[in-house]
Amino acid sequence: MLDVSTQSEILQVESLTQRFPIETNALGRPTRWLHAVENVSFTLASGETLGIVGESGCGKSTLARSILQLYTPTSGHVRFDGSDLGSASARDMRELRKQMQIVLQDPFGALNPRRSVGSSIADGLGGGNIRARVGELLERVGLRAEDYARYPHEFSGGQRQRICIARALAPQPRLLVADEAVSALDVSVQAQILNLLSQLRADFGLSFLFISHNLSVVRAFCDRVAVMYLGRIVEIGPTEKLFTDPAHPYTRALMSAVPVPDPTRRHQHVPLRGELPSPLYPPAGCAFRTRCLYAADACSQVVPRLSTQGDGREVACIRLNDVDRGPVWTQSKESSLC
Amino acid sequence: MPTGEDASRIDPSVPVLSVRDLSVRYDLEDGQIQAVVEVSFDLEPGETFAIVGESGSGKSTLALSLLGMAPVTAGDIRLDGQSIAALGRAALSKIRGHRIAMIFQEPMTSLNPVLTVGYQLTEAIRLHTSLGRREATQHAVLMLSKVGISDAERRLRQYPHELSGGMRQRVMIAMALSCNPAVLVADEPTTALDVTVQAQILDLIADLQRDLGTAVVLITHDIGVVAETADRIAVMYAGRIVEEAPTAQLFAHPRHPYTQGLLRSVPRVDVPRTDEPLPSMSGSAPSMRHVPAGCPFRDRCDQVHDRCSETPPLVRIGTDSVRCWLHA
Repeated sequence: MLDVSTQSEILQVESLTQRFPIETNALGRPTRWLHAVENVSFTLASGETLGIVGESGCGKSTLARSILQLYTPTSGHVRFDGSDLGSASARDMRELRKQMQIVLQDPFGALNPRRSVGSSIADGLGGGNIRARVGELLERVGLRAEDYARYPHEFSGGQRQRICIARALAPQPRLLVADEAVSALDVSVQAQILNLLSQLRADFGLSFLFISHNLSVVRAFCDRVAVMYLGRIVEIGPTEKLFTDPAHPYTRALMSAVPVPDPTRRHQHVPLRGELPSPLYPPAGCAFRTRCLYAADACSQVVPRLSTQGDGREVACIRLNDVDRGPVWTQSKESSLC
Repeated sequence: MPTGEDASRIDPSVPVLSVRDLSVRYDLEDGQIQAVVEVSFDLEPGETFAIVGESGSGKSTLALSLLGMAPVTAGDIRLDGQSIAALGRAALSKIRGHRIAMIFQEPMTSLNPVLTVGYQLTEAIRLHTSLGRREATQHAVLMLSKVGISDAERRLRQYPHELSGGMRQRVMIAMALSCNPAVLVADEPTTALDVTVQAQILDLIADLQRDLGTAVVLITHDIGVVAETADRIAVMYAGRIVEEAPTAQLFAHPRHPYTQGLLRSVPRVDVPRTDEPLPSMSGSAPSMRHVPAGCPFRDRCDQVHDRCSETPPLVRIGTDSVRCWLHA
């Protein structure tokens, strides 16, 4: 695991906001907006892995795409290795993109079925000796150099995800964005791919944005974790701090809902009220207040800001001092695996 | 009681569902898929029996066959002692939804998008009871409130797309349980849902099960979900049940090398990260078109030996049964 304090920052995200117009008036001016990402700020140290967790529609995938400038952010800044991506020229951006690669959830949709996997991977390589270098990449991800000429349908889901990883590695990136990269895989294969990513992270000093709804995988893979709810980060900090003592009421509810694969362990679900509000009409003030057990009048007045807690984490909750804290999983007497 | 007719005769509780040596095969233009191979199990009234396995293990086909919706080639399924294999189409429709009901992973595709929730819910009730339209609507309102949907009268007038995923799954559960079936087959009922909604739906199923005495066959790939909900677990691999045991027993002492590997490779939310690689199994499950002869797991097994080229028998050890030569 990484000592963050001595590392330089590879990615700085400042007040990033991404809204999408969903209705326009007769003049083409937007009249309604979907608030996908609101005022998100964080930094990623070189070689660090930040997990971004949250439920469907919380904006975690949009955040990744805004950072990569696949969407043009509505406002805010993204700096990659010191360069402001929003103001980079098209030529600079082409070079910068090579250093930021993405691996997606569905390895079936992400590969062109009519091209050999070798030629898909070769797209990311410049210079000569392409075939040998693709062969090396294939071997790096646990396939064989001879697989160059084969087509995606000849591979299993796990193997296809290895091909997508090889393709992402081809331009020698420094940042890898994994958007639910192991979510479609069976558990026995998921562990293989996570081990591969860990190995590559160590060998190439890769930084990761690891987007996942699977908190178990995030705990096993990430140095820090950001929890998103309706487009905002509600809590961010070192993985073990968040998992052993989740602070924000939403983080607590989310973690306590994860089923533990051990029948000797019992835990209490932290209940949530009602349903997830539509991101078209996010509640005023704290977006979580409509479902929060601690909600007070003041919560509807102001949007809570992330405030530093002294243990390296930041939490956005004005009622934090009243939250009933502690681990959400109780230790069992006879747990065999701990 | 998975093996032997003797065991079920000794047992005082009569199984509500009894499956014996069930095989299901899909005939395709270019070959056959043996999706389920000689599966046997009993379901006691009110219990939750989980069937876990990875993609392609045959668990969903097994679920469909329990409602007479898969091409069964051998074996027998008895519901309340009555063989459903012998039933014609009309008799099958009578028990489906009435004695045995099913919910699926994706509630959006299971609900008709152009009919209101109320229409679909009352249709199911009227089909299986003698209730008139008004009583059926009253019963539908009652069922919706039972599954935690407030403002039920308004919801009945809504279309499926107006509901959230969790709400739609609640409607499916209300529909499945509206005629108080003895058996509910739930095929990945929470896989498409977020974890907080999943927790609510699993709690709901458990509550209703307690109230109504429904027995549940839970089909899932999620080891965490079975640990929290199941009374007994069967592990499927390549169409076969390779191990069956009470939940606590299976987690404490998994016998089959596949079960052991599966339980080891599940990342745990309650365990801190280590610098060690996650335990994993080599390879992936065989294609159902080309299942190797003998034990189908032998290519991936770390305890493989000569005997494994022969098909291992299902062996009973106390409350457990396992299909592996290490225990034969």
